[in-house]
Amino acid sequence: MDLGKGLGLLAFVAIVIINFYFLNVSQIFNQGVYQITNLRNSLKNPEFNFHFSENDVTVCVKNPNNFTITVYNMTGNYMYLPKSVVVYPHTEENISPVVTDYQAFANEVSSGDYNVSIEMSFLGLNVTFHEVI
Amino acid sequence: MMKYPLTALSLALNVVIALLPFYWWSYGIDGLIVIKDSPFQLYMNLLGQDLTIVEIVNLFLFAFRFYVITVSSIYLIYLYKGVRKTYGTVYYLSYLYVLDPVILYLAFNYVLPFLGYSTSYPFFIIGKERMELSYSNAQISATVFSYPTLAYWFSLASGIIYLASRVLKR
Repeated sequence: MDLGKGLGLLAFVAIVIINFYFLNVSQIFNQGVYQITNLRNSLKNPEFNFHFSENDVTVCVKNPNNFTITVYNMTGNYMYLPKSVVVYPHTEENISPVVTDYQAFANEVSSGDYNVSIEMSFLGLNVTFHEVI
Repeated sequence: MMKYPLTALSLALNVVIALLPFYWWSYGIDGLIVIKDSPFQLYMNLLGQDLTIVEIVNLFLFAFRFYVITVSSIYLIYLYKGVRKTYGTVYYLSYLYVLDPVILYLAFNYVLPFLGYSTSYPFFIIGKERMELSYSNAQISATVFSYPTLAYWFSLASGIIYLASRVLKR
């Protein structure tokens, strides 16, 4: 090692020591780790609960996240969403999809293999979920 | 010093680059994750929150600035006395930045499938591209972006001057 690199290394170590002396590094570290563990818990799947009544269907969407979710579409046999619905952070929203043929729809649902795909958007991502109800 | 103008310029630019407070490159996936970095500082935003753990890394990167400044300054003094020494760290770092997108491409297309995700990640170095990702019953489509800043082009130019100083022995 030559003089330049030796002194450079010395400067590096000196600055690191000064940083550690003047800043509460362990506190910054703990806060950082705490934030990351919180972030991991903060990304939760939104819940979709289907409620069936006499001749229509209501979907209760629960958004447990810190960001807004927009539900663009909810499609399956005999069902569609006429307009997109915005679900704000930590709120619930009741969505009423249009059912074109309720009898046929109810038959498929009761047989337990009704496929629904839900298109939504959050944080700029477009996400499509496929669910069986 | 006048015998080696390119070496002198390259060393002086190293000092300037180490002093500049700008990020070199920014990349991310929509609002999910945003990363800005240079060899001297790092910024990460995940799910709309600035990650504070990055500050620990920045303590060392800040000290690295002084390493580069000290080495370059002392080599400039050597040069003034007629001894030519070249210092290529900034050159290597500026060129290694082009490898970042390659690493991301390999990670998305060859590592994530092992974890159960299926992805189609386009290969690109600068710009924005659509990316598809699917995991169990969900399909995600997102925009990935990757842009260098003016400070990066400046560093790359300094790298070229370094290379010229080595090749031409000036």
